[in-house]
Amino acid sequence: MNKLLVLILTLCSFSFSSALAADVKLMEKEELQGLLGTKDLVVLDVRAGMDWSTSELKIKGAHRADGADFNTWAEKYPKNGKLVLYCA
Amino acid sequence: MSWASTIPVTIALCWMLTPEVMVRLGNGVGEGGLFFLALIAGAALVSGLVVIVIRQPGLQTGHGYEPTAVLLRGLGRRPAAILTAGRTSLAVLLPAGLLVSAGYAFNEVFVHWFPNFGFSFILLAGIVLLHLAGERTAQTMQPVFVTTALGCLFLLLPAGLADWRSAATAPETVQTSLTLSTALSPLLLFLGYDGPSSDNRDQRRPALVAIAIGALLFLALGLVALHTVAAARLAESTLPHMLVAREIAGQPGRLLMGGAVIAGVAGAVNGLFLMTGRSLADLAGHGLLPAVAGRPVMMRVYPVLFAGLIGVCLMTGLAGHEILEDLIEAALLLWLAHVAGLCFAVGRIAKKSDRPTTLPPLLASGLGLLVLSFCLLLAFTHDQVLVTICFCGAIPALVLPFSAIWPAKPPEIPQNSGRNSNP
Repeated sequence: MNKLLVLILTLCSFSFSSALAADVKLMEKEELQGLLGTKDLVVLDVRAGMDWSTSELKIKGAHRADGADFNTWAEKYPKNGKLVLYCA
Repeated sequence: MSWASTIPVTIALCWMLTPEVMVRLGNGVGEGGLFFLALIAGAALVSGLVVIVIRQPGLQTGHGYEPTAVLLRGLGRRPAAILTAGRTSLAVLLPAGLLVSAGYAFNEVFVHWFPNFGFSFILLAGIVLLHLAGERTAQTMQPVFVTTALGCLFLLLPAGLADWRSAATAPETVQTSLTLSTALSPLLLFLGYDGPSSDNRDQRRPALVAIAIGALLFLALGLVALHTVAAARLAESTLPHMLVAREIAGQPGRLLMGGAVIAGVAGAVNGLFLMTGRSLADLAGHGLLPAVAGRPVMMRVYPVLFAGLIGVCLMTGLAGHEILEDLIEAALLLWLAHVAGLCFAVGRIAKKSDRPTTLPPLLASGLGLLVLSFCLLLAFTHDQVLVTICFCGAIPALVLPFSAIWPAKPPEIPQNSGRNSNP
């Protein structure tokens, strides 16, 4: 978990286009730790199968989501917030 | 007890000490409480009875105990090939899942900066190296892995039992409902007693000792789990054993459980490679595979092949798909079907035999029917019943065409067909 790979999508400027790929940023765990508990933050745990079930460390309050199922979670969570996906 | 005589016991224990079994135990205890522990005791008795039936000294050949030979004598070529092939699938699927668990345990409990998949591959490579050094080396290391896992668990237990005496620490018990698939699962926890052995001594004893150790461990861990963590949390957790270890002893508890997980996985992968390699050599020895598959050098080649397939599974991201868990479940059911097949085979051998046998043929067939019923019920109560049926159906679909084109005349059993004289 030291090198927590986090994909961050800033949904403030969310427009459902592939051009968004350029805005995808990586976040270090320390940065995410500072954001935890803030109102507009949604953390998505996109690990699946045994990657998820055999890991003891799970971010408190994180929602499980299928990382590939972009349309579902993009619709589900507020578009004016900060959405953080973690997969390792 | 000599080191060599512990080898068959520790091979039979290889699956019982895996994190996969710990999860099933923790979830089961959370769902069913003491009733689940009673089911475990019942499953231990049934497994013990199965051992007495399928490992009778009269069934041993000059090469020790060969399940393939028993299946062949009792059921014929095709069922023997299908049942053995079904169990062989476990040597790839189960280690793939278990190595993921070991990788996470190492990364999250011991060395945070070390990549979990990196550790999974290192562990796999280490076990392959043992097998490349020779079957004897791999066998000699098996008690090391198993006693390390047992040692970690038995160091944790006294602390848990001490907590148990204090009523103040007992969690609030919320009764959860026991599902049918969980209630049927204890029979799966004791698998491992049907493996081949080159020892010509009575092969019932090591398997019975393994079942007794497993039963005592499960009952003690189950009782401690129930008295340290709330039942609902145990039932829902994906890692109930880590939860219990943390509740019992905090960080030292996590370290001990992490050690048990890694050593248990090493023992399981090593044990499965040993059992499966020997089964494939036995298949070749009885003409169900080309003779080349039974050559001694193949006992070094099989682990490399298994490791290659496991590596492909891991690198293609199979661990990150729900289907891996479903395939493991299906492979475990095929293992149980192999046990049922052995019981039926023994029943038929006893019926055909002119000599009076100590055990009535009906007992063997009845046990086979019981195990097969559990197997079918588990298959049809599984969430992904279609995956289970497709996977189980794929094995005969692959094996039958091969057995149809393979010459019916069994070749002579090659001398020293991948076997050595120990343990």
